[in-house]
Amino acid sequence: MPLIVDRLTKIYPDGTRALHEVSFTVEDGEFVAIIGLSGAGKSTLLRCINRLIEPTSGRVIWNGIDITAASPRELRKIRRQIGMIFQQFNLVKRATVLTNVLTGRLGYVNPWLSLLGYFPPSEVQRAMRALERVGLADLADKRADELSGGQQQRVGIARALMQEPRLLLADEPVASLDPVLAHSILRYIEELNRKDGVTVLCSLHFLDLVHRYATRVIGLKDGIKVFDGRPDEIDDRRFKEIYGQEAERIGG
Amino acid sequence: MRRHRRWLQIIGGLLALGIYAGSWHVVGIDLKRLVEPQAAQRAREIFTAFLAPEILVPERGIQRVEALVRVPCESGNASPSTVEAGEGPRLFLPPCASPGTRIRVRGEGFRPRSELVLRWVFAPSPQLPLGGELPAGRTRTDDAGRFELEVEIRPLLAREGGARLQAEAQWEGRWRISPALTRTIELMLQTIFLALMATTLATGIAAPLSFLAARNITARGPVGTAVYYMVRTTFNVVRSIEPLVVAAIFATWVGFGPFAGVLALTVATVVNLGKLFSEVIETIDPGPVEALLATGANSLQVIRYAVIPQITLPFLAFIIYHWDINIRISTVVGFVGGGGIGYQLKLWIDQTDYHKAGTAVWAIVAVVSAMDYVSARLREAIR
Repeated sequence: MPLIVDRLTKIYPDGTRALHEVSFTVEDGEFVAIIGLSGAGKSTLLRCINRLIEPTSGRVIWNGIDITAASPRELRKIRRQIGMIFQQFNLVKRATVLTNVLTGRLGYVNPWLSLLGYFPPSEVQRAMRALERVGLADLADKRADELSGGQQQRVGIARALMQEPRLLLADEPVASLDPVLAHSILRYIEELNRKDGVTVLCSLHFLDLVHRYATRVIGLKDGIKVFDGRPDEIDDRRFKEIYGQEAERIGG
Repeated sequence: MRRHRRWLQIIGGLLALGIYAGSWHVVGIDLKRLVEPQAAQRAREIFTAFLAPEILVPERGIQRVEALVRVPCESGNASPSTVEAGEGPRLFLPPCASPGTRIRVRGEGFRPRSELVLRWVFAPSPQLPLGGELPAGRTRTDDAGRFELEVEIRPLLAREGGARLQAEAQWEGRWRISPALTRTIELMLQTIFLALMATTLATGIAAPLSFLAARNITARGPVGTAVYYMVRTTFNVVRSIEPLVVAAIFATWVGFGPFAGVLALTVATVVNLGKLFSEVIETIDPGPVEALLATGANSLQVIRYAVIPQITLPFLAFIIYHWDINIRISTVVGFVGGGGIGYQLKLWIDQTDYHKAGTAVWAIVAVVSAMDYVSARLREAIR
């Protein structure tokens, strides 16, 4: 059940070429870090996989299904198996933590009942288990905006857990957080990857995080794939290919 | 180049001057008219009346008895004529008198310590086709409700062969709420409910429409974009028509009264709230929308869980704000047939009943400023 990205290209209406013929295949259980400068196309790539952004051309095939050709109905069925977490957490700030987590289940529950705000008790239990897993069960009734950034991202992970995902797309999940908190968040993602066997595609800024968590790295520069290999293969030459001649390696 | 610009400035300046001179003339500005003696007199009358709105009025009491006095006397009958009105007042006086003399008039059973007026009342006659009245004297009743007064028999009475002498006791009773105030309160409540109904109906219509007028929700694909522009344009066109004009139209359509006012305010509120709501929707954080789309939620679920929680409070604030505006407008839709306090206010002004008009004006001031305050506090509280 690999994820095949085939000559994926995205050109925005204003003419910006965000992705150009990017191709790669991800096997089940991989932890793929996507690196590159801001604007290299990392976010666009992740969003083209679940079609939050419509690719201009190319295909994305997952589990043998062509996501890029799916009807809206099929697309919702596919999306509910693909978890996603975001740099800005994207929680509904005025809703409770529990409600935020439950929304991860919207693709599975009865849509009409969900519009009335009803979730079956089994789903509420599932949400509580997800919150326990990220250590936030006692904050279930708090409003999301009362939580710290790190806690909010853990709610984001719990929401993704509700989908029982086979694939997790993580768009700079720790870029808005204190570096100290980065590891705590990435450890949850790593656990999902190792224990539950969820395939992870995660864009990251810091190379030391890439070395610590990723099993494979894809480097993007100006929308073009310039590197695809193991983290320890990134030497100074490769580093400058990805980040440009002026870039300096810090740490990692 | 520089000289060119100088000329443009001069021409522009002259043009502006011409426009202002023309406008001054067209609208007939004539400041003298504000202070002309007659106008100033009217203004004084109106404003002093407004400063003394009719709020409390004394209860007026009246007792009235009359008895016939013949002038001159035909025979020497001098026994006093007595008029009795049951338990009420009685009048004692001679049945006839000669012109130029004075007669003594006595009364009993009147309300103690009240104003008492005596007057001659003439029946219609060839000389006085409409009848008439002539003052005969005034006094006050004593602690026992009695009075005594001498009345002159004037030559005029002889010409009519006599007249009825009327005694009228008048007094001011307790102060009570004036009918004008009762009416004002009644109509003010109608006005507030009118605004409430219009705001509620309009919210029900504007809330769903506003989603169609929100670019980030609707303007997707050719059909969506067409709908978006259609709703937007409708809002903008209808918004340019003042509620008073709409009220005048509805007053002709469904007849004068509060219903016409409700319809007019509803239309005005739908387009205003629709625009305000759609702007709220356009400025929501797109993050949660994106996140829920990624979970496989459908559009309605996304609206329910990612959009509505973000817009509820701003919507509520705008609704309260608009109720406030609607109360303001509903005080005047009556002027064009929309019901509420405005209708009565216009009537009182037209009847030059300025004290009553003052009551209505002060009621409007009180209610509008109270709503202003309440709405501001409510909006603060839900922020």
